[in-house]
Amino acid sequence: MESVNTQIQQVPKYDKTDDTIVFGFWVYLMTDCVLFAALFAVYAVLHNNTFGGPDGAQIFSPSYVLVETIALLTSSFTCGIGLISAYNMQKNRVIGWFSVTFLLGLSFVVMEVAEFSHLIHSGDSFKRSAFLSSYFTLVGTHGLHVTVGLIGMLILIIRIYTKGLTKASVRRLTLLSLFWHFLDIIWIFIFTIVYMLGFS
Amino acid sequence: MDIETPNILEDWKDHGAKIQVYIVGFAISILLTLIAFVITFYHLLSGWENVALLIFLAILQLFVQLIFFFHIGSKAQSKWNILIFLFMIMIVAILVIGSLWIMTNLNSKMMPTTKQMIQYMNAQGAAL
Repeated sequence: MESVNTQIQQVPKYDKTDDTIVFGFWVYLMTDCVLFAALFAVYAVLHNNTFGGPDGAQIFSPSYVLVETIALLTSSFTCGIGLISAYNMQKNRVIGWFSVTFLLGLSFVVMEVAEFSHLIHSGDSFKRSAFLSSYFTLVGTHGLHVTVGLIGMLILIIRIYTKGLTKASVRRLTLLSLFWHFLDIIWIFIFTIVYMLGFS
Repeated sequence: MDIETPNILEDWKDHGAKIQVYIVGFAISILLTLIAFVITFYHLLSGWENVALLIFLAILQLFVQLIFFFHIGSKAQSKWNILIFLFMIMIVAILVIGSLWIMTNLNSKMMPTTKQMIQYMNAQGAAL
């Protein structure tokens, strides 16, 4: 009995299946890249087809997008710090850093929804032109990914809070961090190709 | 066997996932984002140079984040991860470059609009 108890108290050992799971998640992320590449290609083809509607320079605000970008970049950073805390088995720090990540991600989504609703209410919805359809599809798909990531993060934070840091939760945090950094990279390309090039 | 292929989580804990690594990666990312923003906001460049520089900054940031946040190239990243990554790059390149190539070609071979045809006929006017 005592040996069982000491084993539970020990810092968990990671086994080989972790490698397989992380690899599988990596393959998923790469296929998701292909999905975004298709949407980027659609946007690149259609971004001049404004059909008499507004173009990027008229509807995008670079300063607003810069704030969104910095919020997402910072959340990627705090997510990484949270992961280090998880590897060091510091439960409270993990909950703290991932809560900060969650709030930054949430403010990103709220800003994006506000931007979308502003566009739709001023008559420039996805129905207006091919440019706006492709814009809403590309940016909306990214926003949907971020939202799914936020839901996953919330569930994980609650699990760690109630059940503590287990071997499985450290693995899930690793996968979540990979997903979060991946979304950050996709956003950098949306920031550059859609907003910065659209504005200039 | 175990020594040759260390567990990915153990390896990140020991080498990749250090707070300094994340701070450096974060600082460079913010810097690159701000450069792109300043160039765009103050219209420092225009046309072809602007597009090339902004795309270059984005690709630079892609590699910065891959190295500092994904720890790509650390020893536990098996060659399969890199292989899948390169395969993805190939598919993405074919998809994006191919789409743009085909659509540009199609646009230039499209039937002209009525307005363009009338302009053309007026230019050729004397013969009609």
